[in-house]
This record gives sequence, C-alpha cells and structure tokens, in this order.
Amino acid sequence: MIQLHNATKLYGTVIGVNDISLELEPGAYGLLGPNGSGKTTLLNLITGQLSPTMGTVHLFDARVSHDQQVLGQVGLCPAMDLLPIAVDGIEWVKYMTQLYGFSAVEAAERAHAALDLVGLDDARHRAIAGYSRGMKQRVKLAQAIAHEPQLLILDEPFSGLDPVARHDMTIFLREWISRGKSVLMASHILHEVEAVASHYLLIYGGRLLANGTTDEIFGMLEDYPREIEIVCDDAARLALLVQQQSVVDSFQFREDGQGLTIITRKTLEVYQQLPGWLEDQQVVIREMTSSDESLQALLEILMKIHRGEI
Amino acid sequence: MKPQYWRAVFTHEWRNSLAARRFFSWCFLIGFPVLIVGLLRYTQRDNPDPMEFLAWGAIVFVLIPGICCMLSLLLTAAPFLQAELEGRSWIYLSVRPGARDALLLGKYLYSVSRTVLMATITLVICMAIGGFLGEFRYLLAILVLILLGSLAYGAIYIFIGILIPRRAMVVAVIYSGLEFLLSLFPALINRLTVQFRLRSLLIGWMDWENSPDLDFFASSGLFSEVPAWQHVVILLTMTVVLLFLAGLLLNRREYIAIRDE
Amino acid sequence: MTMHDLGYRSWDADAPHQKFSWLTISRYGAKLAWKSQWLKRIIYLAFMPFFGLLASVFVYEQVSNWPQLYPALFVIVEALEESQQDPIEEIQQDPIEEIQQGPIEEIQQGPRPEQVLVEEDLPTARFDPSNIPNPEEYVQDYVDEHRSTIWRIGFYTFFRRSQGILMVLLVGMIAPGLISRDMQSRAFLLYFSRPITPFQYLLGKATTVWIFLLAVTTLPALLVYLVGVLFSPGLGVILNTWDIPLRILLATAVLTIPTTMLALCLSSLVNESRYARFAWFAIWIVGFLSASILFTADLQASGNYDIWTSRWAFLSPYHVLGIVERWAFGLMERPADVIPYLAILGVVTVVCFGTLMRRITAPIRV
Repeated sequence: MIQLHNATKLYGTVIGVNDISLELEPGAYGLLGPNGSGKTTLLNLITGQLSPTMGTVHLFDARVSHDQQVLGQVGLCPAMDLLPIAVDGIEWVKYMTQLYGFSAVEAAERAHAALDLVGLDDARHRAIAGYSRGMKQRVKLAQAIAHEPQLLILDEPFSGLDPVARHDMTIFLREWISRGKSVLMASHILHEVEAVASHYLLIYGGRLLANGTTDEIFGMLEDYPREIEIVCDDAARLALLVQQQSVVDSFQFREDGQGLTIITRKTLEVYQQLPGWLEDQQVVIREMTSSDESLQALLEILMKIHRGEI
Repeated sequence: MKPQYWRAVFTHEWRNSLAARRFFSWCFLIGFPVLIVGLLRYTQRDNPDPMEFLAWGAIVFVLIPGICCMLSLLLTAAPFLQAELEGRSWIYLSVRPGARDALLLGKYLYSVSRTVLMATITLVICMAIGGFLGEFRYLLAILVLILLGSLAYGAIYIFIGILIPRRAMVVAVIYSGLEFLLSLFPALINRLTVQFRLRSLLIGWMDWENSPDLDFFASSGLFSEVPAWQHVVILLTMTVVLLFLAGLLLNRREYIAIRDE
Repeated sequence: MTMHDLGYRSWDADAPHQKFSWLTISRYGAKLAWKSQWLKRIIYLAFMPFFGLLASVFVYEQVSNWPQLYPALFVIVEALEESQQDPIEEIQQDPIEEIQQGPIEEIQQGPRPEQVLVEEDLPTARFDPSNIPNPEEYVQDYVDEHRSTIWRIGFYTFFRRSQGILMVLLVGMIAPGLISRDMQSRAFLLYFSRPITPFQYLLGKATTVWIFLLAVTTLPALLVYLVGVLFSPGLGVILNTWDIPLRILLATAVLTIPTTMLALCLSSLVNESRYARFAWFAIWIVGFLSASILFTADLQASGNYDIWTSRWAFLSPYHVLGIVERWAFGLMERPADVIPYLAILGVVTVVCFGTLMRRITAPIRV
C-alpha cells in the first residue's frame, strides 16, 4: 500500500524526514512522535504534497507525481483547522467530492451520506463559519471519506476535540477499520492512537525509530534498561538493599529524597525478587510505578536511544 | 483532465460570486464606469462643441476593456492561488487527482467569464447613457476586445499569481502600470504589450487610422496597421503559452499554507 | 460561604509602561512586515528619488562654482517657477520643451493667451555673461533669491510625484493585513485581554505603517534639507528656509494620516486581506482615472484649466492630496482654495477612524 525507500525531505538545510524506508500493507497504523518530529512531512510525502529530496515514495504502487489518479484511493483529513468560510458544510463537502470526478448529483448523495456517518446533522446547512471545533473536525472527516477511499490518512484527528467527540471519533475509526479499510493516523495523543491502531510507526527527529506492534517493539527493547520508580519512607535503607542485587543495573535517588529510581534490564525479575529483598527490613513501599509498558515510555526509550543517552 | 473537475471549481466559484457579500464588488465594478460616463454626459450637455465619437470611444475603451476588466481580474485571477493558500483549503484541493489543473482552468474560466459579463453589462449601460447605443460596429468591437483582453490579462495575472502567490495583487498592479507605460513607448517593446494589441485592433476595426486626432499616435507608432487577425493570433498565443507555463509551474511547485500577510 | 466566592477584584495597581503598549504593537508589526522581500525591494526603490532630490539640491547650491551650468540654471528656475504659477498640471507640456519650441500658436488643450511665449521672453536672453562684471556673484545672488521657492518646489515634487505613488504601493502592501489578519485569527481577543485600550491598538497598527512611510518621505526630505543647508554658502540660508522642515512635517501629516486611516478602515471591514488590498488600489486607480477623464472633458468643453478649482478633483485621492501638499509647501496662489480639500481629508480621517473604532471594539462590546 505505502512504500518508502530511503526517503529524505530537506527544507533548505532543515531535515524534515531523514532516510526513511518502510513498507506498509493495508491495515491500521499509528504514526507517533512529538511535535516537530516529521509526522506531517511524512504524510505530505505519502500524499504527494511534497516530493522527496532523495529516495522514492510509492502509494498503491504508483508515484503520486506521475499518476495523480492514485489519490482517488486516499482520503486526507489534515491537521490544519478549517478557517471560517461562508459556505455551508454540505456545499463544501459536495464540492470536495466533485473534485474526485463525481457528478453533482452523486457528489451530493455521497456528501450527505458522509455527513450522516460523522454525525453532523442539521448543522450541515449552516455556514462553516459558525461551526464549533468539533463540527469542523467532522466536516473535515466527511470530505475525506465521502468518496469511500481505501486509505484514510488523518493528521491529529483528536486535536481540539472534547471527550465526547473523541469517543465518537474513536468509534468511527474502529468501524472504518472493521470494514476492511486502512487508516494511517498521526498523533501525539498516544492513548487515543492505542485505542484505534495496533501497529505503530514511531518517528523522532525525522527518523523512523521503530515500526511494528507494541509487542514487537518492546521485544526489540528487551536488552535496553527500564526504569522503576519506588516511593518509600527510607530511601537510604532501600538503596543499601538494592545495590547488592545483580538484577539491578543502577539506581539513583529521587529528587525529593523520598525513594529511588531503579534502572534494570530485567524488569520482571526485579518485580519477582523485590518482596524478598524487603522482607524483615522494615522498609515501607508507598508507591511503585513503571511507565515502561506504555507507548509513551516506549517512545521515550527510543528517543533516548536515538540521542545516544542509552 | 475530465471536464467535471474544472466544472466543479467553476460552478463553486460562481456560486460564491453571487453571494450577498460579493454584491458590493459587482456594484463597484459596474458602477464606476457608468458614473464616469454619466458625469461626462453631464459636462457635455451645454457644450456647443460636443465631444466627438472618437473621444467617447477612446474613453470607453480605457474604462471598460482597460480599467474595469483589469480590476475584475485583479480581484479574481491574480489572487486565485493566494486565496487557497491563505484559506488553508489548498491541502484539500491538492490531494485530489487532477485538482491543480482543475483549479487553474476552473478559476481562470470563472474570472474571465465574470469579467466579460460584468464588462458587457457596463458597456451597454455606458453606451446607452452616452447616447451612442446605435454604434453597433463599435459595440461589437469593444465586446471582442473585452473578451480578448480578459483572456490575455487573465492568463497574465494567473501566471503572476502562481509565480508570486503571496504578493500576487501588488505585483499585478505594478505589472499593469508598467505595461501601460511601455505600451506608449514608440519602440519594439510596446508590441509585446496587450494594450498595444487591443488599441491597434480598436483603431483598425473602427477605421480610425487616418483620423487627424490620432496623428500623434500614428506618427509615434503607438498602434499597428497589420491585419487584425495577426493581433488576435498573437493575443491568443500569448494566452495559451502563459496558461501552459502556469500549469507547469503549479504542478511542479510545492506550496504550503501561508499566513495572511 | 460558597467556594470560589472571591468577589470581583479590580486592577488598582499601575501597569508599568502601559502608555507605550502601542509601541510594542507597532514594533512587532514593523518587524513582521519587514520580513517581506517585496517590501524591502519597494523600500529600496523608494530611496531612488531621494538621491535625485539630493543631487538636485546639491547642484543648485553649488551651481555658482560651475559656470557652464549658468544658462541652464536660469532656464530651469524660471520654468519651474512658471510651472507652479500656471495651474495646469497633469496635462501640461514639459515646460523646458515648451520654452524651447518658441512661440506657440495653439496648444491641444485650447488656446490660452498667457501660455503663448515669444523668444524675447526666454530667460536665457537675460543672462549674457559679457554684460555682467561678476557672474559668480550674480548667480549666487540669483540662487539666494530663488532658493526658498525652488526648494519648496523640489520637496513638493518629491512628495507628490515619486513618494506619492510609492506611498500607494507601500501602504497597499503593509496595511490591508494588519487588522483583517487579527480579525480572522481572533488575535484581537488576545490584545484586549491585556491592559491595552482600543485606541492604543489602533495607534500601534497605524504606527506600523507610519514607520515605513516616514522612512521613505520625511526622513529623506529632512536629510536633503540638512544637506542643502550644509552645502549652502552660510547658515544665513536657514533664515529664508526655516519654514521648510515644518512644511515637510505638514506634508507628511497630510500624506500619512488620512491614507493610513483609510487603509486600516478597509482592513477592518473584511476578514481576508486581499479584498482590502483590492479596495485600496481600486480607490486610487478609479479615482485618478475619473478625475483625469472628467477634467479633460471640462477642459475641452469650457476651457477650465484650473485643477485647483476643478470640480472633479475631489474624486481622486491622488489629486486631493496633491492640492493639499501644494498648499503645505506654499505653492498655491490662492491658499483659500485648499479649504474644501482639507475638509475632505478631515472627513475621510474622521469617518475612517470612527468606523475603525467600531469594528475593533465590536467583538468586545456587550
């Protein structure tokens, strides 16, 4: 479906995307990364908005610059907010649908169907200028799906949405995927991406840090140290206990002095052995957290690896 | 490119153009030449030596195929890309197959058709007020000049709009001023201007070449007596070439949304 | 007692530098505008007439050292002074050419006895070096005698011809987006959530435009004045030209205040700057053309050459500004004729200011 081979995009001397190679089969993908990591640039390369400075980008086995018809299989919901325009929502979606080559009548039918699907009811006959953020997001989504594309590309779809709208968006995307369609969703709101996609592309500094399911990526990171944060009443005593253990690579005191941060490559063994270390030691553990099992932690680890910190 | 692509753009632009908020621009562009001609008529009412038809004809030529068309195209053709970039709708358009060409052709045809319609309405009213509605030859000549001028200037402004999207209108105004001045130079350069061609066509079609009032123009080479078809061919060629180049540029350039500056 | 019942707390401390908040707005706006390459190009272009004026004033002050220029000096000075006395402006022939043509039987604009010149009236006939014992002193006296008029004509031409047109381009580039952009992005809500009054906001926006206008009109003109004084024979020249800097400031006020108010008013009426920009250029183009056409028709119909009393000058902002600038530089034979045009500029300024204030405060009026 999507193929990039050593794709690089430079804006003058600024690197937008740096030597990315990947092949994506139809499915649901989450493109994760902090702001400025190159997510939007990557999406723009895939949709043909930008041409790669080096390398190639193929979409459905075609280069967009050579075969624009392939864009008929793609629907894009960009991050940019719609500016207020004095056009009705239905008119605008119909116009956008006509630009896929549909007749006015068919475009109108598809526009209405798409707006029904995204839940924009009577407001569709009002000017977009009077829409709320959530309604504008629905209109943006409607114009992206009205022509029934195979691939839906969304850039920060949850941005600015209230919790109800986010829930609705999540439900919609799950239904979309269940119909056999593909989704590529760029976001920095990780738990919402996790709710929709099972396959992740982690990007940072224009580089693709990891590509796979959560298990596959965590599997890659087995040999990298993780952090376990422990809040206790006697950090010094705990430090004495921990430093003798071979499963612990290192530790450091928390800034507030109320515990330790343990760094280890063998997280599971630490969990298993910790009760034994504390037996009869009268050290009370108040809190123990490890964010390593979430995508957030995964991204942080990968970023540290990328920066050479670990 | 299938016709429905550019037709969608064309229809969309026309629908927007007829909205209430655009009413003022229609009134202004139709109204100001009518007002000037009306005031002229008023100044001439007691004149024992009224203005000759040639003078009226020259004034209407300057007003309608000149300024009225230029202003209309300045509003619609020059900022055609700037409007999409500032309105952040470019990204929606450019991700559609063939949308760039559709946008170019659709907006160009919209701006030309709007300009021709507006100028025609203005022309008829001005000629009625001026009292020379019976001059059919002149009426036809000006109608053709409106069409040719709109096609040519529309292409030029569209090209400027793609070349310099952020400053399209300012550059188009500078270009128009420069072109008008260059068209008055008795040298080869004036033959490259649209104004020269339109002027020559009008003088030729109205048989004004030998009018003593245009002696200065004739002696200074400010119009040409070559056959009219040559001027028409040159104007149409210029139009086609510029549109082709505009299409090439539009498809090859990468545009990102710009701030409204 | 309910939670969060803190009551309304009014601001009773002094906000530091509040009086100069508008300066922050203008500095920011100017910095933003200066990023435009096209604006830079136009600013650089706008300095070319300055060099022309500078060279002219320099040559005028130093002409007594160049005897080969004496004949040309008299011709040019007389022609310039005559051109200002003769109220025909846009349709006037080049005065040098007119004089060199000799007697004029008929001119296209219609016969006018005062315009027919005969050869013995040519100023060159009066300057015969062989009859003057001390030509250099004679020329220097001539220069001193005509200095005030020639300088005023020079500055007027600078403001009217070159900078007047460049002003239209400059303001058309900078002003249309200043307020429309804030309205589009609702940035004015950010402005008014700070201790900034609407007037300060407006002043800041207007100053953004004035910074660039002053840079290409007032500052170069004052610099030329200074150079003229420095290259004149002595400080005594200030005695008969002391009014010129004040006239420069007056012409600046005439050129900048109403035009900026108009441009900002247009910007406040729309959300998209290109419509404001279009309206700005359309007003100047249509106004100039209307006045020119109707003036020419009047000329042909009634022989009324006098643009200063032409009933159509009011249609054209360019002509109105020209008339008032002419008055500002003391070049009008009948200064009272300027009153209607001053009134027009005043009305435009007041109406635009009022509209601006209404538009700016509309979102925060409850």
